[in-house]
Amino acid sequence: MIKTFCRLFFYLLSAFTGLGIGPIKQSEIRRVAIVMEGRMTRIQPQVNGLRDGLEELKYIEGKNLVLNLLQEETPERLRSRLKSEIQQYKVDVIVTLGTAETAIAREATPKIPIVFLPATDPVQSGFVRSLASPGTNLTGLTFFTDSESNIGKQLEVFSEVVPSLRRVLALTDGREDSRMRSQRQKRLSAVASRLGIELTEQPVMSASELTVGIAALPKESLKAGVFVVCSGLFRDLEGVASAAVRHRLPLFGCNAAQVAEQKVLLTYAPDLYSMGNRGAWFVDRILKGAKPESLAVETPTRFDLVINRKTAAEIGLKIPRAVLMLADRVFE
Amino acid sequence: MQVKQILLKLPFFKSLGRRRSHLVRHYFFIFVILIGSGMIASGLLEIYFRYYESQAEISLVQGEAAKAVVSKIAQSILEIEGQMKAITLSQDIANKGFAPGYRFELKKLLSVVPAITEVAALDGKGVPHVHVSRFRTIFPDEEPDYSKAASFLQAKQGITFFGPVYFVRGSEPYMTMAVPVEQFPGSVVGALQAEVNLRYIWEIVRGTKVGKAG
Repeated sequence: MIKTFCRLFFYLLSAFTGLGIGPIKQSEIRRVAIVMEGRMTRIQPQVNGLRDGLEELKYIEGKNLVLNLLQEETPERLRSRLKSEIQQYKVDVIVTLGTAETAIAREATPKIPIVFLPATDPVQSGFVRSLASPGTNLTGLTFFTDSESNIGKQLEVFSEVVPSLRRVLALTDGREDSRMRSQRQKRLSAVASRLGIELTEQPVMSASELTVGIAALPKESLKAGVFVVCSGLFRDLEGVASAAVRHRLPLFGCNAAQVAEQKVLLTYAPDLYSMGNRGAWFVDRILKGAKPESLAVETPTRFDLVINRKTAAEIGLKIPRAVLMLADRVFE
Repeated sequence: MQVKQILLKLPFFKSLGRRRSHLVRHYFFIFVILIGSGMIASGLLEIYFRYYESQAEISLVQGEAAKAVVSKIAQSILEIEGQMKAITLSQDIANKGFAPGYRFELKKLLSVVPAITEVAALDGKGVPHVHVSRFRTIFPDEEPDYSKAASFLQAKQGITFFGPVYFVRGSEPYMTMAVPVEQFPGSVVGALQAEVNLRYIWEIVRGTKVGKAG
């Protein structure tokens, strides 16, 4: 009986002290794979925004975070690289930088959380059931609030910056879903017609086709311009921008970095760096246990008008003062 | 020493020794049991009461945080109302009504107040003269009829209208606000109606942390 009692007392004592003392958990290293298609040498603004945002949230690369950028030129190579990354490592979150990459990631895994930064229309693309409740392993930010309306607005802004515009060549992503394309075409044509602009669409399947069609545009008095209907295919507009400047054609691009660094004349679009920064919040929530199906997809709350005055001067364009005054950023 | 040994061999003294060590063991274990169980019971009671105390403290803190957030939201909405009223103080409106040049003023409002996504200047009959939007093109024949809208009718009485929250695409919270446009105090000549995206204000709510993943 004494032995039994001693044993019992010892166990109880151990239990109470054991609650306070246990093996000390070392901080886990989380792995985030960033998926991007294309041959960009420049780091995309969303990646910088994401990196800075994660650092603000105390995720330090090399210490408790691994950020691995998976960049391949073709969808097939990207698909295979992502699959081998998933097989080789425990990937906690996949971040995609466009609609095409999101489709590839969704194919690769139905379980690993995917955050898109951004996707054009995630509901129409079938990535999520609704913006409020994604209901799948995908969530993130959209590029447009409503793609049909926003693209029409972009054309309107283009015509305000270049009041003499009468003929526009619209470069579109040839890989776009046909239903989305026809809805967008209808609205864009209606807006163009109201603005007195003759619109010609040119679907493009790869970066090498971007400058085809520019040479055929009339080059007198800034009556013609090139309008890019933004998608992941148009990340690098350097070639198009050089051709546009050479032919003295105004070019409407996709993001502020293109205006600042690639001589694109203007853009009216969400800020990709801010988008990446916001994406860090999504990644953080998921790493702390939130499920992507319960994280509402976010749409942009503002578009920034960004203009390059030097490019305007090179093509002989005098931008209306009222427009310049209300621009969000002007690069000289 | 020899006497002690002889005495211990006697029956009386032998039994006395045995009885004493048995009693010591007996009382020692009773003592340990009593003290031990007392400590365990007191520890358990402390855990129980501490738990409910911390729950009450957490609720109090959350309640205070929620009050602070509500107050910030209300403040932000009133600031937006102030910005809208400032835009209505225009010499052009007083002299000429809503001229096309007023479009620049409305675009300035969009630039200064990121939460506003659309704003329309309505005359005394509810007809929109100027309408600008951040995200879409608006053509005159696409305009709805504002003349019977609650927002216009209230603003026409000289009272700011704050509409109920509605959701766009099931996820974006918006509200309609309308302020009266006056040529001079008491003389309402129209209304300025705006759609306000409450996500900016929602960011304040998100900034209030509740737990790790909440």
